Amino acid sequence: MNRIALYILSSLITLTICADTFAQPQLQRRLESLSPTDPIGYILLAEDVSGSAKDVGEILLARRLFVLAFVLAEKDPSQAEAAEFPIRASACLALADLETSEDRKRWLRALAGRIDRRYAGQRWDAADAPHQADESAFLLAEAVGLMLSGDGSLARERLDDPRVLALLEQTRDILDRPGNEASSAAILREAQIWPCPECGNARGVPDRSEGGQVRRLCSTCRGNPGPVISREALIAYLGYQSLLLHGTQKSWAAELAVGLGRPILDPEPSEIAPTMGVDPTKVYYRAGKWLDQSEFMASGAGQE
Amino acid sequence: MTHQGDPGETFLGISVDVDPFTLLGLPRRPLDDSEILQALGARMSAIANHPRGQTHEANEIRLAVHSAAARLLDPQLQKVLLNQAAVVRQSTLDDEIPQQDRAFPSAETGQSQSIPHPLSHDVLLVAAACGGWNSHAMRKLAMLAHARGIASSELPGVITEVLAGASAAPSVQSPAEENDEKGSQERVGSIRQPARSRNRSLGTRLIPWLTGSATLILLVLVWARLTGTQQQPPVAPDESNHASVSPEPSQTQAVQQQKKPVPIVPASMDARDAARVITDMAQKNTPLGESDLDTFRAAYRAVAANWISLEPDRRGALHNGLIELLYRNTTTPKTSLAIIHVINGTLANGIGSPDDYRSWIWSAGTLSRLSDERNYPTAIDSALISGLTNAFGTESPSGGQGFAEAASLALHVSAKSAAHSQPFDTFWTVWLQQLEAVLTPNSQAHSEAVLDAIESVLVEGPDPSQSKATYQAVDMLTSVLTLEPMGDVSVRLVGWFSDDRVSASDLSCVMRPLITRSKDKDIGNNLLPPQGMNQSERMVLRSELERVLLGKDSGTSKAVETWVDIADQQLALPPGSRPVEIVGRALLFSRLSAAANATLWGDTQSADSILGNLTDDIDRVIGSISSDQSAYLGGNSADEWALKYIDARQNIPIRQALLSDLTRGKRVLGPVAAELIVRDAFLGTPAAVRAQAREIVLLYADSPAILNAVLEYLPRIPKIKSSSELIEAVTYARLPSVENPKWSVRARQACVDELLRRISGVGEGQAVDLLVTMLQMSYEDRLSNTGSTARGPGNAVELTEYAKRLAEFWRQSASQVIEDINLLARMDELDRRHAGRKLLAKGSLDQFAVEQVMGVEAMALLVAAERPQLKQHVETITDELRVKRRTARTILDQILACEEAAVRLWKLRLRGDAS
Repeated sequence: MNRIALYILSSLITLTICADTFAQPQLQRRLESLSPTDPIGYILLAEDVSGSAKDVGEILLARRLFVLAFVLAEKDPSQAEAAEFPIRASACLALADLETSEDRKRWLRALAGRIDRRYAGQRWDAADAPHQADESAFLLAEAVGLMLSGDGSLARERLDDPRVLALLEQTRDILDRPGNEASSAAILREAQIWPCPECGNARGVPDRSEGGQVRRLCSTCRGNPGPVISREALIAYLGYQSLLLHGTQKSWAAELAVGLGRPILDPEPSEIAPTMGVDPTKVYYRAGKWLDQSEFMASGAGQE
Repeated sequence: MTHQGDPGETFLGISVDVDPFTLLGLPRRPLDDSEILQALGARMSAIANHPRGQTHEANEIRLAVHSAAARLLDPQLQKVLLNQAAVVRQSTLDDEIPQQDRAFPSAETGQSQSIPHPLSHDVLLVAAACGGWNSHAMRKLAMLAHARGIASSELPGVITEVLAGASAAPSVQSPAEENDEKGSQERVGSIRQPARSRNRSLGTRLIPWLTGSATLILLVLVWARLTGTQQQPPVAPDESNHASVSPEPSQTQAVQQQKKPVPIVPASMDARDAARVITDMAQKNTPLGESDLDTFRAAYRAVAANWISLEPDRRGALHNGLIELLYRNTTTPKTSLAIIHVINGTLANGIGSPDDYRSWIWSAGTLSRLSDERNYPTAIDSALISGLTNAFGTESPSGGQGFAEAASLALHVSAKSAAHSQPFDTFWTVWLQQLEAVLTPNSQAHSEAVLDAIESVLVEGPDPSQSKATYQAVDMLTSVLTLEPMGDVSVRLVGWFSDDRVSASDLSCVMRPLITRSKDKDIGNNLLPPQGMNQSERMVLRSELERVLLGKDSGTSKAVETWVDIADQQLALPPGSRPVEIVGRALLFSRLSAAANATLWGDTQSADSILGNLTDDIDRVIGSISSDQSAYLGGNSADEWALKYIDARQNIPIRQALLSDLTRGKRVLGPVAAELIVRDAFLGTPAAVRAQAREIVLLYADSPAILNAVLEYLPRIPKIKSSSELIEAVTYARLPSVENPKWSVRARQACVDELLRRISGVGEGQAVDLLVTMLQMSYEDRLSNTGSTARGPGNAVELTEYAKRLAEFWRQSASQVIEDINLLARMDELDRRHAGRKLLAKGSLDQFAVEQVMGVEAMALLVAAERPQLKQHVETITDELRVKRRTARTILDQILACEEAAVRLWKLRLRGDAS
């Protein structure tokens, strides 16, 4: 039985490799057949490439093809009108799907909406999340606060809610960054450690050296239950809570502290090629290279 | 007529058939006008106060009294009547005193008389009933005509007919002549009298004729005056103002006064005569009676309507008389207040006609003069202040101002209010006439007042290119000014070039007549603003005007060179990489833009001030950043006070004593102490300790440790109103009611955001926020010549608002200048791009950046439109900006790129070339 399974698996791998081997020349052919007078060809190929993309190189190729489709459709509106779909707006939305940065996604959707009002109807500009924090976001924010104050048992109560835990998982990228002392793992860990094992968050314990009549600060928590963290970590946790609660920052320093200092991209069609790092003049693909009109003519391919 | 007896007996206790002296209760001796008018007023008051004062009989007796007064007011008639009285006394007393015909002397004159119009008698009756010939009387007469089927158009004819009868009659006839001419015809009319015997005495025969003739003369005069008033545009009296200026006497009294017949001042009584009446009244050593007040009212109105014909000395005497009247009647406050009410009453009429306007200015100045006196009773003081407030509004004179000063101020106030729309066509003519009456023409004060008025019209009024009235007003006002080098007009004119409220078309409108009329050889048409003058051209022309008119180098070119040198130096410096350095550099460039703006508008002093302190404070802020941020919550965590408090446990007196310690001197609280205090503030027992702990929390509300403690205890505190109030106090936020399900979220949000602000605002964050406040001040400077005002506390939200206003200013300026179709298309693109950016902006930082880049791009369009030869350079700057923004790592880099581009654009704009 195992042998059969192994055989089937190896056959599948062989087929895949063969398909890839056969697909590469096919992709090559399709790329070389692209013509700047036909932006639809670019976008259709881009969709195929992005749909089957397995590595960064293919994603970059798909992005280039979408950008070229966008630029060529802009240059030749008659072609764009002849298509059964809005080429430029579709290219923007497809590019948004390829992006990982939320800011870039918003920018590309904004651009699509600006080019074609039908896409503006999808309310790219409206926040995906509601303006008011939902219950799970509030509970997660409370859990973070309770963890910081050393109220581990209360924090655990909230984190036991599967919705809260799922939200923590979804939003962990906000906290889990290189060099960031604050992390989602730390939240879960500290919630297990506290309350203070020595004083139970009473802050003070009887001083035995004085016969127990006098109290001294707890030697474990030093009277201040909760993890000892740096200013940057506290700002990170507060920023995280603020994002969960849809808070509004009151100063530039606070906005910069919670990571709201990212640049704003102009929702301009002319911005798409330079922002994506694509040279819009290089529209011909020959021998594994992208060529502009003069290079294409010089290569002799143009006289074929 | 239902009353069969003599109406005079009913109302006055005397017959109407007696001579005018008796009817008015006057002695038979030569009388002056004021005595007659006083007597008339007294009689009218008596009739008005009579229970049958509103009846038809009362109207008849009013007519008789008016008629008698009119006869006595005519000096010649009065003389005749005095002689006649002497004759009568000497003649046989057995002659029956004839029943006096009240109305129509022509019946007795023997002249051929046509049948009177059916309304002729009504004219007289209505005039009597309405206290004279006024709009009310006319309306009533029109109604009567309508009821009798007579067209309104016939009314003037009726009046003319009556008047013609009067004019046809000889003014004074000898008794012999009268005997000869006396006819036997009987009058046909409503008041038909039997023929009299031929052997009546001269006086008996003369009296009816004189009565009718005087009545008609009176009507002629009144008609002439009232029809003159009717031609003026009606002005709706401001009822609220009226109420405010006459708090006393009561409204009822005021209504009664309005109902009272106003004594008719003969039209022959000009302002001088009226002034004499008032000064005569002041010289009498007796308090004013009711009739005196009526006389005063009439005389005052006559003076106020034409006060400019009085010499300053006479005006002074008149004011002294008024003051004397007020002082003399202090024992009867009602009378004093009635005098002020008369003055205030003319203010309430507004400035809808030349007479009303003159009266308004006169009364405003008079009130100020009267209020300059001391020792009035409080009621009089209050009435004067009320009147002044009504006249001047917020610009009320502070006291100590004479009539001329106050009248000048009133003219200034009225000019401002008339700048929007003229109350009547000849407003500015009347304004200038009055100004010349209080200020010497061609004096500095006179010129200043006219220039102020012009400025009001230019700034407050419609644009002269859109409004003919504004254009004409400016033309009229400039006609009394002379433009000459070093003169007041020159100084003000150059100043208007630096005033953004004065538009290019305003300048063109005011300069054209001044330059055209100027006789100075240096002042020529080359100083006229070019068509569609833009701001750069305006700057150049201002420099030229300063040279020609003020004889000085404006220093603008030197200031521009200085600015360019400094800007070049700063642009060449490498940018920093830390956020605080980037914000500091953006602030520096913003200051350069502010200095450029001041230079453009000729404010080289401000420009120098900005350039002189360009970087000092920025360097200081950046250099003072503290690197020690370990105690970011403040204080020591192992605080001695905290240890004592923990040790106190349930010992209430010790805890209270420890809490009291904290109120004696503010200290830096550590996190442990803060948490102990906050715990007791929310959950402590007993209530006394809890209350004390709350006080400490409020005292230390700005402490990050306290706020952090509140955040830590938030999940456990009771949701009650006092808790919510305490959280509001430490977070500076408004929370919903504790019953609201959103309360918990909002409370946590408020605590988190405020704590984030406080903690991030230490060290470098504090420096960034400080620089943001300074950036806001710099934007305030940049808005100083844009017509926008920007004042407020320094914070990021305010800064965004300032950036928005500046962007709006640039956009508006550009849209006014741009004519090129390509630039117009780019303006549309700009708007669309701005809308898209706004939707992508999240916090205040993003919003500021969005408004800022909009402002810079709009400015670029403006510069390209102003200087088409520099279009290519402008595009280079905007292209570079686009690239820098696209490749920016953070929003701060984008902000810096925008400020830098703005400085480059200013350089092009100020220099006019790309060198």
